[in-house]
Amino acid sequence: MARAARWLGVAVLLCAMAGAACAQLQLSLQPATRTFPIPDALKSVATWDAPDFIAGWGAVSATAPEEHRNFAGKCSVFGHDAYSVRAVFERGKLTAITFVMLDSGAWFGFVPDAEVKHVAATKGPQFAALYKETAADVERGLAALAGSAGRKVPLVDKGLLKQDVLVFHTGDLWVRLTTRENQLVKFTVTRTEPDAVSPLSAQRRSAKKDDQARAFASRVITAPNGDRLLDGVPIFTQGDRAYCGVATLAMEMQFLGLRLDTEDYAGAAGIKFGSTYHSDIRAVFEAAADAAKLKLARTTQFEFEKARAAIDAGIPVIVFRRWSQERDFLHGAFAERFQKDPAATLPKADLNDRKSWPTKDSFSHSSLVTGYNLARREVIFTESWGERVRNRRMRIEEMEGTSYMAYYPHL
Amino acid sequence: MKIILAVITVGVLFANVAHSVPQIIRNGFFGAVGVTFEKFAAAPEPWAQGAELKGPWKVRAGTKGDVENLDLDVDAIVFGIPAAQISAERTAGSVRRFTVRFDEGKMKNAKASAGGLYAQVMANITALAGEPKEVSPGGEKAFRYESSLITARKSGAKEVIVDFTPAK
Repeated sequence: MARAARWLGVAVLLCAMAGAACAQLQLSLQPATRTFPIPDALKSVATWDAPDFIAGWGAVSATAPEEHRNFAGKCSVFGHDAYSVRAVFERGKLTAITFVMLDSGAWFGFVPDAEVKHVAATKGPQFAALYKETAADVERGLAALAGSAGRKVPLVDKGLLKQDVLVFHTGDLWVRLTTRENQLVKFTVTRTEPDAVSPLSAQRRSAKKDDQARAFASRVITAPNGDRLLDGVPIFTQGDRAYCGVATLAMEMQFLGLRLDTEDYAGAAGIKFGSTYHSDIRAVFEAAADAAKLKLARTTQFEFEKARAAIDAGIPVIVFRRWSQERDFLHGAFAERFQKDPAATLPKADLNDRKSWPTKDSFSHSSLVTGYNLARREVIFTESWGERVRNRRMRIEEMEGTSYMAYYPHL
Repeated sequence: MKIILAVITVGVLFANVAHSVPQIIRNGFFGAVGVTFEKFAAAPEPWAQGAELKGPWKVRAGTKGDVENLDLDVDAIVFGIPAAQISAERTAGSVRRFTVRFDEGKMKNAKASAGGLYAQVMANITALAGEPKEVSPGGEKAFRYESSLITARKSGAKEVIVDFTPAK
């Protein structure tokens, strides 16, 4: 038991290190000159439609059903710097912006289990004071913009993700403020009131089940090389936070129209003071499926035929698997080579190759399966580490042989 | 009893699920130079006449004539695998060879990969550089990768040696 706990601690530490490295990489790629237009972007539709403002999110497709973009620049709101500012575009039109103002995972960074009590005792009070101040400043600021106090609305009405939010009408726009005691302060600005008061996207709220199924399936593309791929799966980088599993969940669920974020799932799972100690991610997976009005099948090993059916239906599959740094290099290097040489092949899954696979003694990791290629016998998967790890490839046999849990949401 | 066992099984499975995800991107050489060692050695710059050897290197005692042997003085992960030792051979101001020694005991998943170091190194070089251009009767494999020629061979039961030399 102690050994297992030690391995898990190391796994989370490595996870956090990876996140930090990714965060540094992303930071260096962002131009720091652009400043977010506050308060106009919180109350004016004209600002949302201005070409200069839209340019701040990078290239956006006019035809993609949905795209998620981070704002490339600094954003300070109500006296506090935002940790992240992310937008949703639907067919090129900006429909929502989410500002994460304070998140305990980001503030504490990764904290090993053994240190969590000490950290909670020494830094906890400072964070609690900051939480109180940030939550109050943001609520006061939004109320001033709206000219009235927010209206309390149950965003999710049951289960682990049960959440009341405050909804404000700020000029032309609507704002949903989410606070979770000593954990999270974030708000989402939307064009419409229904988008502000519901956790589901407009398409998921209004369409019939058959129409929803058709909309999901329309996002499957078949490449000339036979790849069956899900187009437009968002990647939410975990950063220097112990948020691997919840980031993967957020990627899956946002793609399926549930407008909750990594930070919501982290809070609900009980990831506190930067630690996953005593957290319950499994229950959050089930709660998320409930809130998304989806069923959630689960197997104790990745099953390709189930995954293939899910991908063909336009739904990604979450896989928990064994992971090693050595094997991860192979997948990264192969992805790089495959870009230059589409005829390149992964090693055959023979006895020799299996010696290099991670086993139950290796670390744990979750990935999102976003496609497959039947002729090449490959699974295509994506990590929560940034765009550079989108659509990596692995032989079906390896994914099956190294996995220990898989989730297949369906309507 | 069956129910209790099922609950325990699910509990054990999810003890892992609750935490998940690892990856190491940063390591000593990467932190110091800003690029992985295999990318560094595959670029043309380190092989140029008089080129500065980036990273912390120590000159080995007992240098003879104009041949210097240097050891990398920081940990490095090469082809995703922790190297036990990295050395450079420099002649008259030009690097002629980098030698990377892998030791099974240094692997992060050593237990899982017992006996698998050679397979792992070969698989990872192939993933990066493609199939070997040559295989010697002794089992040494030669790969061409960007500006370098990479040769890899077993050295005893638990070691693998990889040489980088400039591609001609």
